[in-house]
Amino acid sequence: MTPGGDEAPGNSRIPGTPGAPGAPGASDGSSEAYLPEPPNLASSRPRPQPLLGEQRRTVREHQLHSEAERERAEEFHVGAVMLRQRRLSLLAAGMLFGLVAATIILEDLFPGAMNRPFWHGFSPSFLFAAVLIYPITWVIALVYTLRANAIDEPRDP
Amino acid sequence: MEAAPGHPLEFALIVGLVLLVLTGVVAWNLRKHQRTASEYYLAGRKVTVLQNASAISGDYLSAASFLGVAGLAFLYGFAALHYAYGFFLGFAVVLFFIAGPLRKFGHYTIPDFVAGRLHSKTGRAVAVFCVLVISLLYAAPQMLGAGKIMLILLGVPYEAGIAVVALTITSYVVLGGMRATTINQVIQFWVALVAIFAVALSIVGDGNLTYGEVLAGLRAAEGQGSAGLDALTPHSLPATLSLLVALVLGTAGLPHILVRLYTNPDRARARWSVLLVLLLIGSFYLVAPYIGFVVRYLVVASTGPGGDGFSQPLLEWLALDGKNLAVPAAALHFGGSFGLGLVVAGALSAVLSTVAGLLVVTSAALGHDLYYTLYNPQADERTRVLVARGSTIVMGLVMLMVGLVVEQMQIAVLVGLAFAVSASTLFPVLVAGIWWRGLTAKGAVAGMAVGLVSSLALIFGHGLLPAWIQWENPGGITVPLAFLALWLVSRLDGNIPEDVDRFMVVVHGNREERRLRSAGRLRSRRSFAEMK
Repeated sequence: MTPGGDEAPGNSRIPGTPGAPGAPGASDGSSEAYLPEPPNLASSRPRPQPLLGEQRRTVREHQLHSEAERERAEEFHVGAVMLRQRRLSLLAAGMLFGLVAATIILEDLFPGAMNRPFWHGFSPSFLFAAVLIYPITWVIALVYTLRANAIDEPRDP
Repeated sequence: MEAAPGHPLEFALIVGLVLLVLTGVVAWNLRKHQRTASEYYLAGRKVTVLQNASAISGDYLSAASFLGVAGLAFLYGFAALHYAYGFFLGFAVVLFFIAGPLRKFGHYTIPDFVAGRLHSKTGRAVAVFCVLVISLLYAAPQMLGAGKIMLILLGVPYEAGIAVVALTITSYVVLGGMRATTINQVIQFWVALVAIFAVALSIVGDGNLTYGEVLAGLRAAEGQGSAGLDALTPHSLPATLSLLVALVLGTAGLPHILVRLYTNPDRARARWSVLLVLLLIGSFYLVAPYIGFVVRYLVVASTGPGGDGFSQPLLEWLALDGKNLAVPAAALHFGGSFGLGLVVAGALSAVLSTVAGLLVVTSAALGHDLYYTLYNPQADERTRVLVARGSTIVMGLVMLMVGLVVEQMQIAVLVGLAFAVSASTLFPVLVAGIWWRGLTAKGAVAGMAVGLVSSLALIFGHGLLPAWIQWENPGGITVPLAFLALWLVSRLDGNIPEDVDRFMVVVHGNREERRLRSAGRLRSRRSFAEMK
């Protein structure tokens, strides 16, 4: 069985892409030609940061030769993707659960105001816990899903 | 036979029988499609977003939710809302932190994830134990609820009721595997959702009782001093937060829910499935408390000066079991025998779909995790399917026995236990495994063990605790304890798996990573199976 099911990335090279067999600039990885080392991919193994601008261009455009170089590039790239996903997840969860915690804490601090009916029999805390929390969650979850899927499947540059 | 006042139950019985026959027909038609373990456990990973979302919702929407949330609102007022949105928000945590990476990892079960991430047979064995404990703890209130529903709504004796439920579910899971379970769960969820919305719409239509009118009426009748209506948090703030921690994170660690994410074809569709679950389940939890408040209002109204509420026989019937009979009482009051029939169908659907999901996940724990991966990795597909079916029969019998043993226990205690254990064992390991490179096998085992022992100890030893931490649910203590143990032991151990970076590539890598790899700009990679 292939882990990742049907989604597991294959190792086959994409015909027509730079570096693919037969394509211009293709390489089997055995060339000894000098290429400048990409920034931040050196042996110091820095904490992964978002791969943007020059760094991203460097990974794309330079052929990395040794397995170690490719390994570091891979860690760097996936670390950056992971960081973006983690930020997005924490932001979405922080917004949603921050609202829930705030409501509960406010209710504990100001029970009179939070439980006083103010609109059609609804008090602020009841309106939030019984009704508003659902559409708020739906909106945050929709935005999260769109962005998370966009990080996973970015458009071609 | 007449268990409900003034209304014959033939229609409800017919609806229940039709539902049971329908599940059998679906399973029979799919019996020949179960040729591989992937087909049996994961429906060949070809479940669409709408199917999977409906099936996950059906998996999650138990009898305790279908009848219990409205019942809690009827009995305890505003405080019941914590249960409604707590159950709901668990899926937001699944979406934000687990769904995508877990689906990308693939495989069959949650113990597969633990073993794949940490290369630890001990880790897998402890995870299997946790899955079995959580699933059986979760199955116990389902069986108990099923027996009580059959007894109160249909007049079927308790033992016979759970025997019928166990036999029906075991038969269709054995015959049709995950695919039949999925199709049945889809049907059952929509039956339950239509039933609850039909009751709510009949209240708005016939009774002309909007949410605001009910709340205003309740406040007028019960007065501003009513504890049930004036406080969202009648317990202390830490107790409320502890309950929410258990409900939210417990949902995000339920193995029978998480395993369904593997059935989607890819990661994006797994996320869309969970988003749709939030929409479907949210609709349900939006409506269910409203029905409970209406029942509370009608009870108050019927004892007031105008006597404009439930009839006396209906009030006496409701007094038999207020928590479980709030929705049926509303259905009877507004919809008569037809309404009650719909609710019986909904409740029965909720029981069948949840127990079926639990049966699939526990049989996978036996057949896949114990037999195939630990005992006989050379087993061919035919043998694996045979073992899977045998495991299903064994677990069906176990669930029947669990149902008989817990007859005198309280549903709320059992549900709380299942959520506390789930939040304190599998959830910390899953989240740490996906997002933290530093997790080690010993850390994961320590986290699961501490979570399991502490949650069982704090629930069963509730009375021995100091008064200030005698909370309704100990999740607020046990979840941090489990995370602490996991982190501390991992730090002390330091034996991080060598391939942790490759694991992270598998679960977090994106299309650009695949393109770079294809172009030779990232290292070529063996498949994850080869790495193991």
